Amino acid sequence: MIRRSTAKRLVAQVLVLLGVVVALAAVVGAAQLVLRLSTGASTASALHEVDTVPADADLLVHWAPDAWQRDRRPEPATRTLVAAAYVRAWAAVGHYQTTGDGQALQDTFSGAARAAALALPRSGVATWDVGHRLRLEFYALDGATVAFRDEAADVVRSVPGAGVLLSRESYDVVMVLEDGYWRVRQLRRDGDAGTVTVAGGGAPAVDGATPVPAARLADGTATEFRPADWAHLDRAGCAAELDRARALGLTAIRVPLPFAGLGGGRPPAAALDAVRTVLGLAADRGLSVELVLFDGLTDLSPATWAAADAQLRALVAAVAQRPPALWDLADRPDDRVSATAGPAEVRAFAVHVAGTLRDADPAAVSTVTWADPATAADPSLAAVVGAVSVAVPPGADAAAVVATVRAGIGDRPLLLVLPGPATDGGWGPVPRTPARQAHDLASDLLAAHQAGVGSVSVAALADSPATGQRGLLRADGTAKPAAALVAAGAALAAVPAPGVLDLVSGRFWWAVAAALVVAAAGIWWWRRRRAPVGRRAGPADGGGPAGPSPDRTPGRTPAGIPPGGERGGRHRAAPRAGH
Amino acid sequence: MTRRRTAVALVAALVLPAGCPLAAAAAAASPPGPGPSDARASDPRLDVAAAAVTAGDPATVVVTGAPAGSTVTLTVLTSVGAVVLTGTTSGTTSGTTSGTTSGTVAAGPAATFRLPAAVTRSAGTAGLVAVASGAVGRGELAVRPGTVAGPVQSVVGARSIVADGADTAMVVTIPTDRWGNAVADGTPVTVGRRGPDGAVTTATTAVTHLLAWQDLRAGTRAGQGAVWASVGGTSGPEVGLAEVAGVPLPFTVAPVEPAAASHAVADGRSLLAVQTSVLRDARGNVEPDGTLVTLEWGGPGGPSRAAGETVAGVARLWLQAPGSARTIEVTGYSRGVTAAAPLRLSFAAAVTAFPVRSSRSGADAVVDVGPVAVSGGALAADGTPVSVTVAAAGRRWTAPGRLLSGSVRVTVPGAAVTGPVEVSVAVLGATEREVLR
Repeated sequence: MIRRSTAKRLVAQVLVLLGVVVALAAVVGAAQLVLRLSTGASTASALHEVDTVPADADLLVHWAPDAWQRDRRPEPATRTLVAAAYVRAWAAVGHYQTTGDGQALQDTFSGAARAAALALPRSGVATWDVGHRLRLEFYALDGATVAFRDEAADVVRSVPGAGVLLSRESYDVVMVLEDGYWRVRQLRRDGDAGTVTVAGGGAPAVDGATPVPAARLADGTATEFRPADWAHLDRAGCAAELDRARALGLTAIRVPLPFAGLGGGRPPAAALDAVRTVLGLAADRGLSVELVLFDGLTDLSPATWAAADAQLRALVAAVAQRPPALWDLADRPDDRVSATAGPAEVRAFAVHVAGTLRDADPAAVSTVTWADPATAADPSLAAVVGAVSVAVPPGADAAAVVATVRAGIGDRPLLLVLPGPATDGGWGPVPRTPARQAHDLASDLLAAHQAGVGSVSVAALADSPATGQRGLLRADGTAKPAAALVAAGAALAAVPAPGVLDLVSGRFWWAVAAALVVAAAGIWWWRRRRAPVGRRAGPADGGGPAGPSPDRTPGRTPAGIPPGGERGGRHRAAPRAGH
Repeated sequence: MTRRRTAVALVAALVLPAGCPLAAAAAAASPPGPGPSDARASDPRLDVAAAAVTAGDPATVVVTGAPAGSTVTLTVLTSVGAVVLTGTTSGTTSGTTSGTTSGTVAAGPAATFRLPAAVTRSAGTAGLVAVASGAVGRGELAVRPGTVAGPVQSVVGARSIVADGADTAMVVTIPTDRWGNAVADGTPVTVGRRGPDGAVTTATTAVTHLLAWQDLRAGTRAGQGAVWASVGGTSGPEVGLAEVAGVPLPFTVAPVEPAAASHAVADGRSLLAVQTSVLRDARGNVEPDGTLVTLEWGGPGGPSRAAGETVAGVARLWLQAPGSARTIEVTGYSRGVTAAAPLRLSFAAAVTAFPVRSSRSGADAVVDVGPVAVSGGALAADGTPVSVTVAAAGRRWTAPGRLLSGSVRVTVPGAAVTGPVEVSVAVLGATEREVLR
């Protein structure tokens, strides 16, 4: 029978445990709530505030050959001023619509156009212009009036309740020189070449986009290949690594191109040369290349699209002589949902850059690697690229992912990206070991092959600061067990599951063991401190039978026995009194 | 049971991490209901109909194709921004919109949107995008500019052109409706012009790319003209256009008083007035007032220059007489044109002879000059410079002086050396010599 005091203690411990669980659940719940509010499932939750001077403003305007062929043509400086003022006018419209601040409109519009823009009811529509193609139609002899046609105004609007609208519109524009500043005097929309709507959820998410024919891709196994420094490419080192990749039996490399590392919207010639070099080295070794764009570009809001377009165009031009087999327009963009770019903006980004690539190179084969199989399975998103790609995270059921995606994309080719687990051990109960990596990779490859997926990208070629320990090779060049699985015909079914020793070698279990030892020592120490003097002293000291005090109220003992009496008393006072 | 499953799904969605299989399972436990995907599957396309309107007039947009009771979000992409409207489908509509002819409406439940003047005041082709339960429809709303509303403002540049029959100015105008929209392309615009001779001419152009413009070629007669524009019966204010003479033909420069010029003396201070002929261009137009004329001539101290501006085509300038007798050649320039021939002016010596007396004072030589009389007998002006030079035994001493009441005493320190001393005095180009023994 349990003593009364023991029962109380157990109840107290249970209550404390419950309290901890409830507090933990509250913290997790609050975190989930904050995460949902900050990332948002709808575009309305994204924080849109259009800048009055757009980022990368100098990348927005391209001049088509002038239709105005009279004797006086705009001087280069005048052309620059007109373009800058026009871009600022667009930004002013977006800024006013999102903030209600009309000062920029006052500065950049004139006359009736200004009045009309200020009179338009505000609906919270965030508007970004991500490109203009201007054709000069008129330039006054006195240099104070200019008229041009914006033949291709690429406009992005985030509309509450309607998702993101992408449109290529045309405008007739008249600008005048007032007080030394060019201002928009007339702005007339002249239709569009179609408006694409992109929703933040559900399927089909995209409506109105131009479909792309399904691509034909060669089967093969690729791996991620990341040169350390694009600005100073180690050509010999790259060649050696690619030799190693070829020796492992890989047929392709998947090359993430860091957006910032390539110079953003203004890639320097050295970086473009480096990309060309990698393509050349791979081709020399019979490796096809998948270029993965915009790596590290975390802000996919329309404010960054102009720079993204510029980099993409520069890359397409740079590798025109030896284009990659596949352009992956973004690796898991749906994991980059942020406060400024909701799911709709992220999907719209993919649709937009797919169009940019199509404009730059109609023959280019493109894909987007989605993290969410449901998104990858959206036929409307699949239709804007030649092939569909989906990433299978470690531990996920590759067969289920393939089945989900295949159900939506029909006969469009499917690529699987298996980033694979790292071999850094980790702190989880299932340690990330080379054996685990090999087992998981074998399972995923087997599932892919059984599902008929011929194009797979696995892990990374080698461990590095950029790839972590996801490599098939260690940093010192030695091969991990998984390296033997990427060659054609590898015995995938023969890879054994990690054994018990592999399991118990994990940090988690070592930590658990250590915690148990510490807990046991603590309990032993606690019980020793709680024990009455007589019991701790033992029978040899003449103490009687001892046990925990049934009543811990100071100054009181059962049956009126005073503290320090025969049955002990307060465990701290008694020994002192005895001494 | 269903409510309990929903609650479980909600709690799981909040508590469990995203991507967790349990969360997905919980979501799957949620009962199916009317959602976007269902609506898309059953009715993926909306019809958006709108008839063309004139800027500022209310417009009606009818959206059909969504089930009754659906919430329709209509985005209107105008020329100067986007507007979002929300409505609900109800009733059954068919036929056309609001008495217009081009907005055909499909039968079925419809959501009707009425766009106010604030939305339709900007002319252009407005894009319409309707979204209802995931279904999307698109359309266009043509907003035509209204008829022209005066005044028709014109801008002329340059404001001043050369009346050479070739120079050109340009008039630019943006005829607008009452909301400030440029009237429709192709609208004829009449440009009126009154030339310097008072003759009125008109030319017709048309609105293109939201504006109309017309070259204004110069005539051959200088003067002030005016330009205006009109559309139909609506006109605007005049804008001035000056036509000015071109570069002048070679001109002449002559003394204003030739008789006085023939007696000009080199007294270093008198002024001689000269003037140009009337400066005219090749077509006989007098140069505008203020045209710069420059005269240049040479002298022992280097080139000299005088500048003046024309009044009624003539520039009058004054030349200062040189300090010694000589003949100068005056050349005129204006707008890059050189005078036909240089003007030759001769300045006679102002002084012919004057008394000089020298003496010794210790080691110094003392020279008394004067009285010096100029032509006509008057004493030379006070301050007239005098230069005394003493030469003896191969050495030279020089001392300056200035006349006061026609005379001056100049002391040359240390110049009274033993033996004959030659004293030389120069005044206004005339020189007298004396030997001091």
